[in-house]
Amino acid sequence: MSVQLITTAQELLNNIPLNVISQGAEAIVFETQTHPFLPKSNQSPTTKFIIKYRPRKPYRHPTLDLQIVSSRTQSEARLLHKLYQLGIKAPKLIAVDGPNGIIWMESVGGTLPNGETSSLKNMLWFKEKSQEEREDQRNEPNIALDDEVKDIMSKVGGAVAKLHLANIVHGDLTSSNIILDQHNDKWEPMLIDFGLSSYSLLAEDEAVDLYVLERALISTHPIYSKSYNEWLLQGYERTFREAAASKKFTEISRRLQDVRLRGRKRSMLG
Amino acid sequence: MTTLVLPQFPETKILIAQYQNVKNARTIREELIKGNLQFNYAFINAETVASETHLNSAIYRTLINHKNKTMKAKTLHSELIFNLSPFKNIMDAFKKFGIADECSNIIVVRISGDGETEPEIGNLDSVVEGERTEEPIGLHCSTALVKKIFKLNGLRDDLDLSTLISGSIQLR
Repeated sequence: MSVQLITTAQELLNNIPLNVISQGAEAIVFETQTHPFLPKSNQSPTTKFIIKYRPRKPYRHPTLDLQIVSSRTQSEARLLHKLYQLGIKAPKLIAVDGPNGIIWMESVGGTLPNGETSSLKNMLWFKEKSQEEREDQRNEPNIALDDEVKDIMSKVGGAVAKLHLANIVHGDLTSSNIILDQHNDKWEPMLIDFGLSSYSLLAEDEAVDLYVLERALISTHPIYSKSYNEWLLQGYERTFREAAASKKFTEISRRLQDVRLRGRKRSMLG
Repeated sequence: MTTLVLPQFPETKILIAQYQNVKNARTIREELIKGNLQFNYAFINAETVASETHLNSAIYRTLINHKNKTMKAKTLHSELIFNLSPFKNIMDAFKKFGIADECSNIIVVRISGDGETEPEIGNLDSVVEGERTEEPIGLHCSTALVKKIFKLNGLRDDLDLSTLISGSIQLR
């Protein structure tokens, strides 16, 4: 199935060399060095672009399928553009082909010292592993909980807060949907994958966003998740206070308590 | 003058030329309205084209719309002028982005599809009374005017104008 999807993508994007970097239920993500409309001479030869392709689903009615694919693609692209206008760090939009479910965007992030993609998940895993492999674990300060991690986590909180202050909820916050970009020796988090995001004015949705991230951290980084979440919420709160939106923060944080008790779904139906 | 071929559309040859001190803008416009085939080009007002990114983004949009059969205008060239603009109305796009009587700096684009003869620059030089230049696209752009047309004045000023314009063209 997957091979067939890639063949279809290649037909839609003829002449574009495609490298699969990830596949989900909704979309396949490719990487390429070809820009859709700017000549090669304008870019550095190492520049990369990301193509997110939402394939047609054969089990849906064709008319409905076309509408779903193109509206989801358009709305994700619209969100990326909106985030750029707001100055929130996210991949820049390059091109959209709605009916075919294709979004072109700028490639973000780099590689970690161990050669992995610089997502938050890989970063934390790398740090946790370095700590585990150390011989003298008792006397030295913990690498997985050092100032660098603290700084990153609080900036992640800040990035999520910025999004929420713009009344946008991400919808699928996990540590692999947060990419770290290196700027003058510091790691700056950037959110990716806005496929499930939407606009919302309800504190409930923002609280669910935080809760989903909290759960994702607990399951992917079980040992240190408590400290990670604590720093994350500190950064989140700080950004809200700086934006003079403490009231909204209090509301979201109260909601978060509720959501923690009952889970993500408010209604118990379905 | 440049010839452009977009990677996804290898069959389509695109010719882009710039002219300055154009004296016959009014005649060109009149001939265009008459539908003279000698004038089968997109004549664009250089004042409203911000950069190569702006122009190429609109060209790409045009070819994608053509492929998906979602073109709003009748021909590729009018679709290109429409796509350069943020407007919903084709006439508004022509007024701001198409050639006007007092235009002296223009950008001319010819998109030739499969099977069509490749455009020759010689024909174009005889049609436009002006000097062909090789300056980078966007040199004659009025940034203030473009910002006004695309409604970009309220935004932060550390954002890149071309990225903003290209984004809104892709989303139209």
